[in-house]
Parts: sequence; structure tokens; C-alpha cells
Amino acid sequence: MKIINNDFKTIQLVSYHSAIDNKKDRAYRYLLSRLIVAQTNKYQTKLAMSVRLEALYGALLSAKTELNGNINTIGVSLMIADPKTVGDDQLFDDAVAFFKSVIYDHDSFDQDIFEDEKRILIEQWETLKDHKAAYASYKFNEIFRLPDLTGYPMTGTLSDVRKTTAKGLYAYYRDVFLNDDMLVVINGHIVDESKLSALNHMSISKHLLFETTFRKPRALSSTYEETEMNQAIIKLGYTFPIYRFDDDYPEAMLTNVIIGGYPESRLFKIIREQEALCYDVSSSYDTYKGTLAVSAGVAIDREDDAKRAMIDLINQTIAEGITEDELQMAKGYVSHQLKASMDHQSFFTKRAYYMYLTSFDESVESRIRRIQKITVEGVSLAMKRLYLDTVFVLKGKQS
Amino acid sequence: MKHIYYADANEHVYQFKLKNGMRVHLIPKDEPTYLTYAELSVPYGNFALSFNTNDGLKSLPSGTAHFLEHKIFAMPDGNDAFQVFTALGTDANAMTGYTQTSYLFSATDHVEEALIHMLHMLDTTYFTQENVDSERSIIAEELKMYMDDPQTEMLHHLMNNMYDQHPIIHDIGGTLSSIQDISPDTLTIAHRYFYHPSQRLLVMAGKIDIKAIKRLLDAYDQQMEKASIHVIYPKEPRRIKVHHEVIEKPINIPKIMMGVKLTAKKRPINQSMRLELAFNYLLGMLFGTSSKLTETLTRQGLINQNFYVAPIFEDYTEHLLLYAETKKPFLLKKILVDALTCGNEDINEDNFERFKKASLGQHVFALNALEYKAHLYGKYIHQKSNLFEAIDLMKTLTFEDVRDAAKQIKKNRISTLIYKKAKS
Repeated sequence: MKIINNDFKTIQLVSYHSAIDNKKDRAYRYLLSRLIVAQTNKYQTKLAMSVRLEALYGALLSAKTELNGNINTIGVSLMIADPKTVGDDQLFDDAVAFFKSVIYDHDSFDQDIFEDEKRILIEQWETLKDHKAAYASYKFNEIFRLPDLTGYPMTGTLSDVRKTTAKGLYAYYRDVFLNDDMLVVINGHIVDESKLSALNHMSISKHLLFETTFRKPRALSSTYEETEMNQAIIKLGYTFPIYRFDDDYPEAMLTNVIIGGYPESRLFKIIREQEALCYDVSSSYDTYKGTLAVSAGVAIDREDDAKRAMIDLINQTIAEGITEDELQMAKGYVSHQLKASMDHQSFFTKRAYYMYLTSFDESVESRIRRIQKITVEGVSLAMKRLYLDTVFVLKGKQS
Repeated sequence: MKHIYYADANEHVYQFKLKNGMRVHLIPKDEPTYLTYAELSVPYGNFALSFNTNDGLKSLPSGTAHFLEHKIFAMPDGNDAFQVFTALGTDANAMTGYTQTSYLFSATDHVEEALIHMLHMLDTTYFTQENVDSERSIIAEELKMYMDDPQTEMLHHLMNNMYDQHPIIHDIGGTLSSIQDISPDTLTIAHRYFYHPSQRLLVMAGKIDIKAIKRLLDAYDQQMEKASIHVIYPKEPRRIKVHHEVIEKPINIPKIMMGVKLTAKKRPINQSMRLELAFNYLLGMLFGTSSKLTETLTRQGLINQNFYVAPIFEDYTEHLLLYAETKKPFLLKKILVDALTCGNEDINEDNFERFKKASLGQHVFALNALEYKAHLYGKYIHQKSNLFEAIDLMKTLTFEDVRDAAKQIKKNRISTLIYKKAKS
């Protein structure tokens, strides 16, 4: 268990359940994250759970699955107000007991609640095409990333979901989930740490091997899909084989910032501000998968020009490198973001988990020092490892 | 400088006013705090389409406030103000609502330089035909992006079904057509009347050197010609324009959006806040996760995770909004209307007391995030109220207040919009 004592106005109790990721477990893990917070032996309906949470001064209980490298994590989180602020000393003890019961007190999963959650998930799939931006991201992800597991839906496919049963899910909970690697993190104003003794023996260490890999680059493929919409959404997928723990990771991070990571980026300044081709344009870097994805929403009749302009701009940046001014601005921006993160309570909770998972500990101060040492040449060199192999466009039909 | 301590929220606020009328509220946070958050706002949003001034009546196209928010970043040297914020290592942004435009930055260093730059940016206009035309293309893409979101599209349509005259019928960003009428002159007029320092409110939260900020702002005394303005709200009929509309769309699951038009009146601000809070509790008790009705609707497969309800209280407009994706929109409509108008077992004193307790805790959550706290604080001040006094309001709200609020819901003032799956 990791305890982080500070003066934030809320207390977070979080358990991270980690397992090596695989396709067949995705639907189970996703549905489990929904079921585990929907009922316990004592509070057998979602309504009873909600009533209990309201009695804990509107405590927020949630669970979600996420992918970190090759690790599939279910994070279960209970957030309560600092008992001092609401003037109720009993709140902390009650919250600790309730949190523990959410993890362990399940003799079965109610068939009706299971069917509700399964139906909701199926509807989520059925409505995906109604939400253009979400659908474009899903399709791009699939085309760009498969056969890497990051291209497979976090919820499992619709077919995976349909195959799950309440009994199967409970067996997964009992036989797999409860034996997952597990870390408990408590973050907030903890007056008496002995009150956490009930959580002392929850953590399980399995020494999971954390891996950062991605598929090999391949020949450029372009996919176009038409639907009823007012814009064209352009997605570009670059392999960028520099990972979180590599020596040139800071250069790769700055590459992303300079290309499309903030309002002074090349894509923003030139494609949006200078060429007025779009409102929304950005890039994002997956540090555990070594990929860089670019996204823009553009006018339908300018889709081809915009796509060409974006690719040309990135090619030109790779070929000609960056300027000292650009680098200094990007460094200032990243340093600010890093320092600012220390004012967000959740940052410390997640950081404790990532440190545990990756056995990699680097303080914010040390990261900033490393960034300050980066040179124009270093970033220009890192950029040369960008390789475009996927273009996806979802666009409205032209009348 | 005035210092107020709000014991319930455990927050200190330092307030002062500059000679030019700009109001400043500082909410420092004890160390260790790294971030300073500053939000400078003016009470100007898309509701101000017509206004009386000492120079006569003025009317501006829908979307002007939002357009001005984009273009205020243009500086006479040809650069945009973002560049300076970034060079200072700060993170800047801006947003426009119905009644307010906000400019904000967060900084871990160079706070004073960023603050002076923000004031300079708001004092300096640079609107040319060329840069306005270029921005028009960018904003058009922003509007189209929202048009591709079914919920945004439905909301706009529903407002037009509910309201006849009120400016809420216009999207904050305007329309592809209305932004064609925005020119450099339009933006100059909007800036002249709404960006006067006396209209401005600066809220800072987090790591603050109070004396240094006070000294800095005392030295800043930008004067602009002051104009009196009075935003005109056309008289809005009580009735609903369209009670029920069904539209076929190329969608996969039908969607229903419902609006309950309330009687918006001019009333003391604390009464307005009390009423909004009462409706918030009412909707929470009726349709929140702890309501029996929600459990039943989920069990019957009539709602999914996208179901939401919200009270909307803005200037001269008050309504309740409900949205769901459902395979049986007509059945769901009937159930929701009955719940809203015929009473419900979930509305009882026990539920009220529990909901009140939960609401108190959730208010604490809101105060935990610096950005949210500063933004909300500013919004309350523009409404002539106070975020930190909201706790008192929560404590004194009664079950009777909720029951009285429920009585305001009338069946003939509900408008429903259904998007039905088109036959292919």
C-alpha cells in the first residue's frame, strides 16, 4: 500500500488491478469494471449503492479499464470529502470499510444488473456511428494499430460482449481478478494512518514484466469512408519507435509538442492560423507504444488540400529540423505542464501506480532538468524516426 | 483591500477595485502550491445581440462575442498573443458562453508578465478585413464540428421549439450564415461597449503574492471611454412554440431531448440561486442514480449511460433539460412527463436529506480543483453572488423549496424532440 499524505480537500482510495493484456479478457475486464461498483453483498442493487454513496457525503465511486503498454489495468476509485471539511469524523472509517467491500464482498453478480450493463455496452457499440469524432477515432485506431493489441477495442468487440455471461464474469472475478497484481494507493489528508490497517494486506505483487513495443512500420495505406456529416476528419498514423524509458524520450516528447501538441505547434500555426484549413488540429504521442497520431477536422471540399498540406508540413519539419526559438517555447510549455501537474491530486495517485508498474522513478524536477538540456539537433534527429504508414479519412458526402 | 474569510469553505478572498473600475478577487492557496490560475472575464456573451447605449440602439450578429474572443488574440505586430503566453511558459485559453467571455492562463512562473500581457491583449484591438476573413473560415469549421454532434444539433433545435424570442435560440458561436455578417467594425463595436475595464473581473487562485499583484495592478490604469450599456431581452411568451416534433435521421438508436420551460422572472439573486438549487435537487431525486425510477428505466432497457438531466438558469431564461438515447422514445417520453408532472415516490424528505448531504460533499470536490474553483467563483460574482456562500444556501434549503419548485412544472410547457432512425 502506498500512502500519500497532503492537504487536498478530498481523499482518494484507489486500487489498481493489473494483468498482462490479452484480447479474450477485454470484454470481461470491461464489464467487471462496471459490475464491481454496481453492487456488493450488502448493497445488492445500483440504487442501494447510490444511496450508500450519498450517505458518504456524495462520495464518488468509479472503476475503469485502461491499457498501459502490455498491461491491462482496472482502477477502482473511491473519492470522499476530507472529513474535517464536512465535520464528520466517522466518514473516513466508513469509507475505508465500504471501499474494501467493493473489492471483496461479491458472492455472485446479479443477473439483472449484468444484463443491464451488457445491454448498455451493446448500445454503446450500436450508437458509435452516430458520434462522428468517436467513430473516426475507433476506425483509425483499428486500421493503424492492429495487429498490435492497442488496435483492439478496450471493451472487447461487439461479438465478445455478446458472448459474456454473468456466471462467466463471476468466475473471472473470483479466479482471475482477485489474483491480479494489485496496488492500493491512498492520497489525501490522512490524520491517523492506523485507520488504514483494514487495507494493509490487500496488495499483491506479481512482478509483471512491463513491455513497450509496437508493430513494424509498413507500406503507406490510405482508407476513405463516407458518411452523413458536415466535415472531413483526417487521421495520420506515424510509427515513432522511441519509448518512455529510452534516453531520447524527452526529444520525442518535444517532437510531439512542436508538431501538434500545443497552440504554438507547426500544425496549429500553419494549418489552422495561416492556411485557415481547420479549427481543430493536434498530434498525440503514445509513449508506451512509440506512435504519433495526427488529427484534424476540415472542410469537406478542402480535405485533399488539407491532408496534403499536413503531410508536407510534417515532412518538411522532419527534413529541415526545428529552430532554437521553437525549442525554447516547447521546453517552457512542457516544464510548465509538469510543474502544474503537481497541483492536481490525481497526478500523485497515478504516478505512484506508474512508478510501481514500471519500476521507473523520475521526479518532476529531474524530468524538467533533462528537458532543459535538449538541443535542436537532438529533436531534429529524433524526428527522423517518424514514419507515416496510415491515412484515414472519414468525410461527409459532397452534394 | 478587503479580506474575507469563508470559514465553511476554509477560503480567504482579497478584493479590491482599480481606479478604472476593474474588479480584482484573489484566492490564495497555502504552500505547497505551484500553479497560479488567472481568469479575466467580461459579462458579454451571445445573449447580448441587441443593447441600448448612450449612442443609441446597437444590434450585432449572432456569434460576435465568440468571434471577438478568437480575434482579440491578434496583435498589431502581426503575431498572436498566444505566442507571448507560450514564450513566458504559461498556458492560455479563452471561452465564450451565453452571458460571459473569459480569458485565462495558468502559470508556474512569470505570473506578473503574463498578467500584464493579458491586460495589454484585451486593451489592444487589431481587426483587419484579412484577419477577420481568415478567422471566419476557422470558426466555420468549429461550427461544423459541433453540427456533427447529434446532441448539440438537437439542443439548438429544441431551443428553437421552446423559445420564440429569447437569444438562447442562437448557438453561442452563431451560424454559418450569421458569421458572414461579422466585420472588423462589428468587433470594434463589441469591444468598445463590453470590454471596458469597469466590466472586467479578474479572479486569481493558487500561488499568489498578494502584495506584488496589488502593486502591479495599481500601476495599471488603462482608461477607455466608458459607455453605458443595457442588454435588451425581447419579451418571451410563456407558451411553448412546438410541443412535440419527430425528425428522421440517419442514426442507429433514437434520441429524445425534452425541455421544460419555466417562468423566468427578475428576482433577487439569492432567490434565483435557491430556485436553481431546488430544481437541481428535484431532478437529482427524480432521475439521479439513487432514484427508483432510474432503476426501473434502466431495468426496462429504456435508458443507457447517456441519460442526463440538468436545470439551465441563465439571464431571463429558466428551463429543465432531459436527454436520452432509447429504442422506445415515445414510451420514455410518457414516463418522463408523468414523473415530472404527477409527483413521484422518490420525492420525499428522507431522500431530500440524503441528497443534501451528498450535495455538500460534492461542493467540496468542486473546490478542490483550482481552475474550476476560480471559474465558478467568477461566474457567481458576475451573477452578483458568491461561490463560497453557496454552502450556506445548501444548508438552509428545505424540502418545501423542492416541492414548490416541482409545482412550477406544467405539462403544457414541455417540448419534446425525437430523432428517429430513418428508414434506409
